[in-house]
Order: sequence, then C-alpha cells, then structure tokens
Amino acid sequence: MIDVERLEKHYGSFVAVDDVSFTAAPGEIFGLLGPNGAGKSTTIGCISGLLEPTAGRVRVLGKDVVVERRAAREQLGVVPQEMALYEDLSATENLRFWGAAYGLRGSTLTTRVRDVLATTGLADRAKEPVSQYSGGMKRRINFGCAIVHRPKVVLLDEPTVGVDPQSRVRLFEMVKTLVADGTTVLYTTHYMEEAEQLCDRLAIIDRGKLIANGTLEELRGQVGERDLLQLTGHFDAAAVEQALGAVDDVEVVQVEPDALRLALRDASSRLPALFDALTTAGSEIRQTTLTEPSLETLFIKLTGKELRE
Amino acid sequence: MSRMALHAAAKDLSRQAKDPMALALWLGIPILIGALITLAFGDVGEAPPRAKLLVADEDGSFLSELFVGLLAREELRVLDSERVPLDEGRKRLDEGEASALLLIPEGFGQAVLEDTPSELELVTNPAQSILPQIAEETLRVLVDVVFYMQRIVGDDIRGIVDEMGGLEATPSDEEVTRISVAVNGVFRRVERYLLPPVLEADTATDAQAPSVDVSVLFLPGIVLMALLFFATGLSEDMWRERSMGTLRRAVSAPGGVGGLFAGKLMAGVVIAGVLALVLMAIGTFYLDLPWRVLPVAVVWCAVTGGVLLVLMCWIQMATRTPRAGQILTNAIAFPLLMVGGSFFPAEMMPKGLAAVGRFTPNGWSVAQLKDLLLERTAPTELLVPLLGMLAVGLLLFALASRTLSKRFARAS
Repeated sequence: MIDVERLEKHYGSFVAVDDVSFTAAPGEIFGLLGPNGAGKSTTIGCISGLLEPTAGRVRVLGKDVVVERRAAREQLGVVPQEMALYEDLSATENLRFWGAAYGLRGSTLTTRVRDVLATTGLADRAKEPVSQYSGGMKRRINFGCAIVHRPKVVLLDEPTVGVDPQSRVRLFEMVKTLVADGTTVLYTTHYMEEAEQLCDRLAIIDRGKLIANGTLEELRGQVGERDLLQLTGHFDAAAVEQALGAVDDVEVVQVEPDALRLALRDASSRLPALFDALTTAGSEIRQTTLTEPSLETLFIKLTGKELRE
Repeated sequence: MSRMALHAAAKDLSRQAKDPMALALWLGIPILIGALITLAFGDVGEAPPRAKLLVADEDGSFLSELFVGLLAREELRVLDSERVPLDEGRKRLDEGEASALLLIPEGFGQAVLEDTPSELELVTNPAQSILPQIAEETLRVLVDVVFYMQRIVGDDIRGIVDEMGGLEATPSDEEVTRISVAVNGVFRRVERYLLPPVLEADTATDAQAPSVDVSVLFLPGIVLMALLFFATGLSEDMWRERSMGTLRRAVSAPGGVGGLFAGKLMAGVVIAGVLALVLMAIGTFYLDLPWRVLPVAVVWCAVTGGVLLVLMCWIQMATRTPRAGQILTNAIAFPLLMVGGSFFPAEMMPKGLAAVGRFTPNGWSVAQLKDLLLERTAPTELLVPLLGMLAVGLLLFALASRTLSKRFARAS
C-alpha cells in the first residue's frame, strides 16, 4: 500500500509537486495520469527515495520513506522511465545483481532469476550482454530487475515509452500478474488508453497539482454524458458566450481567438443548430472534432488543454 | 550496505573481466614507458664514455715513448690510448673505430730536447662530436706539460741523454728510473694547474648500502604509474553508471548508492592488487629483488590504488560533464606522475622537485615502496604508513560518498 499525504516538492521557487495526496491499495493498479512535466516522475522520485520531499509524508506499507528509509525500500520495486541496466552484463547477471542488492541469496535468488527470465520472455537470450538487446527487450529486463525480489509495491514510471506493441502487451501482462498476486502498482503514464485499459483507480495531475482522483467510472461521471466538441477557426469570446447562452445545455469549456471547446449532450444531432448560432455571432469555423466522454475529455474539461500538449 | 558492497564488488569485477583491454593498457603502458626510460637513461653504474685515441709514434725516441706513456696515465681516464702503426691507425680511424689519431713525427724527441718547434698531428673522427674534442683538449694540456717539463728539467734530461749516447740509444733501467722520477715529479707539481677538475665532485659512499640498479629505482614509480592510470580510467565508470541509470536505481535499493560505491572501491583494490602483483613479480624476477617483501608490497600498492581511485572518483563527481571529469583527472594525474617519481626517480630529480614529490600521494607511496624493495625498512615498519593511508582513504570515501548520494547519483 502507498499512502501519499500532502506531498510537496520545491526546486527553489518552482513547485514541482503541490499538495498531492492519494492512496494506492494492495492488489490495485493506481494510475497517475498527466502530461509531460506535470510532476508524475517527481512524485515517483519522492516515493522511491530518489528525491527528498519538501513537505508532506509518504508511507509504503506503513513505513515512512524518509524516517524508515531502509524498511520502506525493501518493499519497493522501481521501474524508472529511463533504462537502468548494466549493458555490458547479461540479463542473468543484471537480475542476479539487483536481486542480491535487495537481499536475495542462494537458491532463492537463482529461482527468482529463472522465473523473471521466463516471465519477461528472455530465457533463451539470458546469457547475452544487454547491449545486444532490442529496445523492447531492454524494457522488459528493466522491468524484471525491479520485480526480481518480489516487492509488495511496484512503481512504474512511464514504462511503455518507446516500446514496440509486442513488448507493451507483455509488460501489461506482467503488471496484471503482479497485481493478481496482491502487489500494489503505481503506474504513471501520459497515454490515456493505457490508463483506461490498466488502472483500477486514477489520479490526474497537472502542473504539480492533483486535479481529479477516483475510479475510472467516478472520473467519467465527472465528465457526465456530455460529448466534447472542439472547433478551430476564428471566435470572438463575448459574441460566442452571448450566442451560445441562448442554446440549451451547452457548456463553454474554453474559448480562445482560434479555438473553442464545448461540452454538450448528443452533440452530433445538434451540430447544425450550433453552427448557425456561431456563424450568426460572427465566428468562422474551419475544423470540427467531436469526442465522446472519456478521460481525455475530462482532462480537457479540467485543464483546458489536451493531455499531449 | 556491506552485503550490497560485496555484490557490487563482484559485479564490477565481472564487468572488468569483460574488458581485458583496459587491464592490458593499465599494465602495458607503464611497462612500455618504464622500459623506454630505462633504456634512455642506461645504467647509473656504467663507466662514462672514453675517447679512443690511436697513437702512431713515428719518432720512436724514449722522449716520444715518455709522451705516449703520459697519455696512458691514470689521471687521463677520459682517454683510452692505443699505440698503432700509422697505416693501421688511419685505416681504423676511417672505419670509425677511434675518436682520433695522434701522429708523433720523426724528430719530436730531438725538438723537445733542443727546445725547437715540432708539430704533433691530430686527426679526428668527424662522425663523432664530443669525444674527439676531449682528445684534442687533453692533448693540448699534455703539450703544455711537455713545454713546462722542458723548462724545468730540460737540463737534467739533456745530461741523461748525453750520458746515454743520444736519443736513439736504448736507456738502461737506471736511466729510465731517473728520467721517470724527474718527469713524475714535474707532473705532480704542475698537474693541479694543468689538469684542474672541470667539476668538483664530492662523493660519499655508504659502506652499508648496496649498489642500486637504476631499474630498481624506476620500478616503484612504474607500479604507481599503472595504479594512477587504473584509478583515472576506472573513475570514469562513475559517469558510465550514471548514464546507464544504475546509480538512480541503486539509490532506491536498501543498500543505497553508498553500498554500490563501496563495492566499486573494493573491486578497485582487488584490481590494483592484481596490477601490482604482476608488475612487482616481473620486477622482482628480473631485478633479483627479495621475494619475501612481495606480499607486503602488493598490499601497499592495493591500498594505494584504492585511495587513488576514491580520489579520482571524487574529482569525477565534482565535475559537470564526463568530458570535464576526464580532462581534470588527467590534468591532475600527469603532473602527479611527473613529480611523484614515475617518469624520473626522485634520485634523478632536482632536490627541490624531489622534495615536493614526496608530499604527493603517489610520491609518498613510491618512497615507501622503494624503501621496502631495497630493504631500507622492514615490512612491519610499513604498518603505520599503511594505517595512515587507510585513514586518508576513509576520509576521501566519506567525502566522495556524500557528493555521490547528495548530488551526483540523483542527477539525471
């Protein structure tokens, strides 16, 4: 279990993580969703002990990561965003070293190394130097090094960046296997589909702040049944607000000179009426994108921008 | 941390074993440099070069014999004179076998006796530069000797020659003795003026000290050169670990990054020990040094290697980029090698520089190692310096670990 309580991390005047709190339960995949630079990796860094929190408290299985550092770390497995492997050593040697670093010995270590090689699908190339592996294979062994000691809590920091589809599927399977064994998984990503596919619960983070937190259903409920309509062209904010004020059940999410975002029910059947109202208000519409309710629409609704911006 | 350190040490030894070229270079370069320097300097106990002077005595008088005898005097140790017939002398000079050929013309003895001019001919070897000049200068001095001899004992010699019945007559033993005593007396009186020493050398010889082969003086410096190369090279692994991301992963491990660093140093001590063992064993075998000091010497070198490694690692971690780290460690290592007695033993350096060198970590280590190899100190006497070295190493380790865990390992 991971318990993050009012976590803050400052770099001088820059606040990378601002008053973030969440809890990830055993046997659960907790997703931390946000764009690049939102504060996901900093949060993971504070939990793993790589970074010292400026304020707040982080506990792993009840152990404070600052006060009871060693006890907390023994329960943790960290899959960093970048590779963390000895490329001149083989997969077996990497697994043996990191397993031993977490206290595994003798036959236990040998058995665990064999199991992880089988799980990651690298048993047949276990003796080759990692430098000869493909990017996907390196990702898999990078994951394997974090779980070789059977940690009760695993932190995965964007583990699928730059991974081929085959390796991605295998990584998802490995994560699901971990969770089935009761492991708590904290999974950061900026891929909406991954979060929707994998995570039991999610927190959305942007500019260091947690802006939404809950199960997938709860978060979708925050969007409601409304579709998101995104228009590009030329818009006059006051005229748009006035014109759409007369249209029932349309929420103006964001209006800028070249972009307009609206939330509304049953958008596809109401497009002609909306276009009429906007044209009458002097707007010029060049492109229209209609999105059904999703985490993406929630993110846009909460932040006024797309996740990948 | 201790278990983590052991596993990290095993891991680093395994990584090093996959890169035998590095080990070969750390060993090979100092051996090569040492061999070249030793060849360039030669043996310190070797006799200085002497000018080979061929003497063709066309006169054959006892005075010319006397002059040739002067050339062979012990005081003229820079000359190696050999009496030859003129044709043979010219032939051998042409073949480059001598520095010069001196021709004593017929009538030389008579001219000396009558105090009239006579000309000695000296033909020098153009293929040589310094040695013919030595022969020329020496001959000039001897001509002066003859001149003064003629002035001082000319009358005596003339009297003896008259009694003999002329220069061509063969002198009796008694006459030879009389002339020799007279000439020797003159030579003794004038030699301090005519043959002043160019350099005044005051040589004190310790009767207890054995003579030292110059290669023995070089050996400790060469071993330390290998250790400095190794420390500089292996310290770059801190940047490799950082770029591979393994330092960041180690920060999250229970043993922490300190354990990883301690393991790296342990592996370093083992590698330094192996390097020292190979070099010292070769040196001990070829230089006929006592084998009994080898284990202590290897331990000393291993600890020195570990201390140099932690120093270089700290310097690497204090820099901003791998390139800067490489430049700075090399910029420190090479002056240390120069001053610390690796390129030139302290015995061959100016006194001031040698004194400075003894205060460098490698120079101090070289001095201790040299004393051990030459059995100036007993192995047990190295215990205190060894403890001192370990204390310095631990202090450096504490400082470097702090830099590593607070800054270096956490940076991306």
